[in-house]
Amino acid sequence: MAGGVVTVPNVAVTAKSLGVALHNAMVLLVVPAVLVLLWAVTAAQVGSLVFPGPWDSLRGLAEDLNNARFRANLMATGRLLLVAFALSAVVGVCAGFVIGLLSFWHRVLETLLYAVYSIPKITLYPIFLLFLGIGDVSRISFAFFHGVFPMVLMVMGATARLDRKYLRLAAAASLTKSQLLRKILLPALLPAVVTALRLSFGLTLLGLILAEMFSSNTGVGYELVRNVGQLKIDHIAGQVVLLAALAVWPSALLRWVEVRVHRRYLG
Amino acid sequence: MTAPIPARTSPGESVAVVNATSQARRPSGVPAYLRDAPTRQLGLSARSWTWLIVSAFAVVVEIAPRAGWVDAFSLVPLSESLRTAASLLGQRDFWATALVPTLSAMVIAAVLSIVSGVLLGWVLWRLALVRRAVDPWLTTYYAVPTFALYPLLVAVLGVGMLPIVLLATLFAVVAVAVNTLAGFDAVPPTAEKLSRSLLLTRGQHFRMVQFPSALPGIIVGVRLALSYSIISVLASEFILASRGLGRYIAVAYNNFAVDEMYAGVLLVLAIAVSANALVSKLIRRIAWLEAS
Repeated sequence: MAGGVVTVPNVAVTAKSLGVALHNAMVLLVVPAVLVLLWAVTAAQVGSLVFPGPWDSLRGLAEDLNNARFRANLMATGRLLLVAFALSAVVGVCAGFVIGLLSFWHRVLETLLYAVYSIPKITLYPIFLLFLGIGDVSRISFAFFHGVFPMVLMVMGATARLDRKYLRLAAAASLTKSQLLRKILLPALLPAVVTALRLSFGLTLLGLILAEMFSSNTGVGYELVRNVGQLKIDHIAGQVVLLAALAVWPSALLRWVEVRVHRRYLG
Repeated sequence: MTAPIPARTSPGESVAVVNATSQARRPSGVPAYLRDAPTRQLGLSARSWTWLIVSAFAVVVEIAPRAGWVDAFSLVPLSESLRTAASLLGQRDFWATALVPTLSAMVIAAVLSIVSGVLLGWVLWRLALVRRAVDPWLTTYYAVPTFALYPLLVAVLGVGMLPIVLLATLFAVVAVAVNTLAGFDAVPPTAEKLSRSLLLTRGQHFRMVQFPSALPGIIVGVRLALSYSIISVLASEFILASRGLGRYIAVAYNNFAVDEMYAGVLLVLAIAVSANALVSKLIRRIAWLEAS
C-alpha cells in the first residue's frame, strides 16, 4: 500500500530531525553547564558562607518559592512586565511606522530619538516618581519608557528605508490601501518588528527590575535588594538564577520567530 | 547607528514628481506615498525644527514650575537646575565623592570591556566549535536583566568600585564581542583570496586584511561599550553605592532635594552627550585615516 511507502521515510525523517533537535539541545546546554561548573569550583574554593555554590542557591530558591510573599512578588513583576511590554510594542510599532512614513518628520525626530535613547534612563526614574508617585503606574511608565525606544527607532528606520521600487510597483498595480498594507508594507517591515520586539523585551524587563530595586516594596527587584541588607547571599543567588531562567524563554521564543520571519521575508 | 537618508534622485523619481504636480487633482494621480517629501515645513528646514522642539521643551521646563502648571516639588525651572549644576561643579567635595568615582569607573569599565570583548570576539571567530555553543547565548544575553547580579556582587565583594566596574564590564563586553564577531565575519572572500595570492604571512594577513575589515564592526562595539558602561555605572550607583553621581541623584531624591536631583540629572545628560560626541570625533578621525 501507498501508505506504507509514505510512512517509512517519514519515520526516518522524524527520527533524524529528532536527532538533530537533541544534538542542538546538547550544544545549547554546554554554556550553562560550563558556567555552573565554574561557579561550583569557585564556591568550593572560597567557602560557602561568603559565596554560596549552586546547591546552596537552589536550596535558598526552593525556600523562597515556598514563601507566599515571594511568589506574590514574582507574579507582580510578571504582571507589570506584561503591561509595559504590550504598551511599548503597540506604541513603538505605531509611532515608528507613522514617523517613518512622514519622511520630513523622520528627519526632524531621528536625532532627538537617538539622543534620548542613548541617555542612561535610570537616572530619570526619580522624575517619574515625583510626577506619578510610588506605585504600579510609575513603574509601568518607566519600564515602558525604558523599552519603547528601540521599538520606535527600528520600525521607523525600516519604514523610512523601505525600497521605493516596491512602492512604485504598488502604485503601478494600483493597489488599494489595505492591499498595500498586506502585500507590501507588512512583509517589508515584519523582520524589523520582530527583531525590535526581542530587544525591547530585554530593555523593558531591565527597566522594571531597576525601578523595583530603587524604590518599591513589591516585585523581584525589591526581593533582591532586601536580601542584601539581610546578607542572605544564597537567596540572592537563587533568585538571580530564577530570573535568568525565566527571562531567557520569551527572548528565545522571539529569536525563534525572528529567524523564521527573516528566512521567509528576507530570503 | 544613524541610518543615512536614502538618496532619491533617480530619473524615474523626477517623472513621478512632475506627474504628481500635473495630476494632483485627478483621482488616478500618483499616490501620496510616492511623492517627494517637502524639504521645509512652515518655512523651516528639518534641522531648524529639531532645534525648535528642543528649545520649546527647555522653555516649558523653565516656565511650567514658575507659572504653577506643575508643583514646585516635582519640577524645578531649568535655569535654577543649571545654576545648581554649575555650583556643584565648583565644589571640590562634589568632584571627590561624585564625579571622579563615576567617571573613573566608566572609563575603566569601558576599556576593560573593549579589550576583553575584542579578544573574546576574535577567539570565538577562530574557534567555530566554541562559537556554535556560545552563539545562541550571545543573542539572548541582553534579555537577562544583568543588574539582578549587582546585589549579589555587592553582597560578595562589598560596596565599592569593584562590583560597579565588574558589572559594567559584564554588561558591555557581550556587545563588543558580538560586533567584533560580525566585523570579522565581514572580511570579504576576495580579500582573503588576494592575500593568499600575495603570499602574505599570517601576521601580515591579520594586520593588513582581517583587522581593517573587522574595524567597522569593532568601532560599533567601542561605541556601545562606552554607552553601556555609562548606563551600567550610573544604574549601579543609583541602586546601591557609597559614592558616585548616581548615588548623588538617589540621595537627593530621598532627601526631597529636588533642585540638586535635577542638577545631577543635567550632569548625567552632559556626560552622555559629550561621551557620544567624543566617540563620534574619534571615529571620524579613524575613518579619515582609513580613507587616506
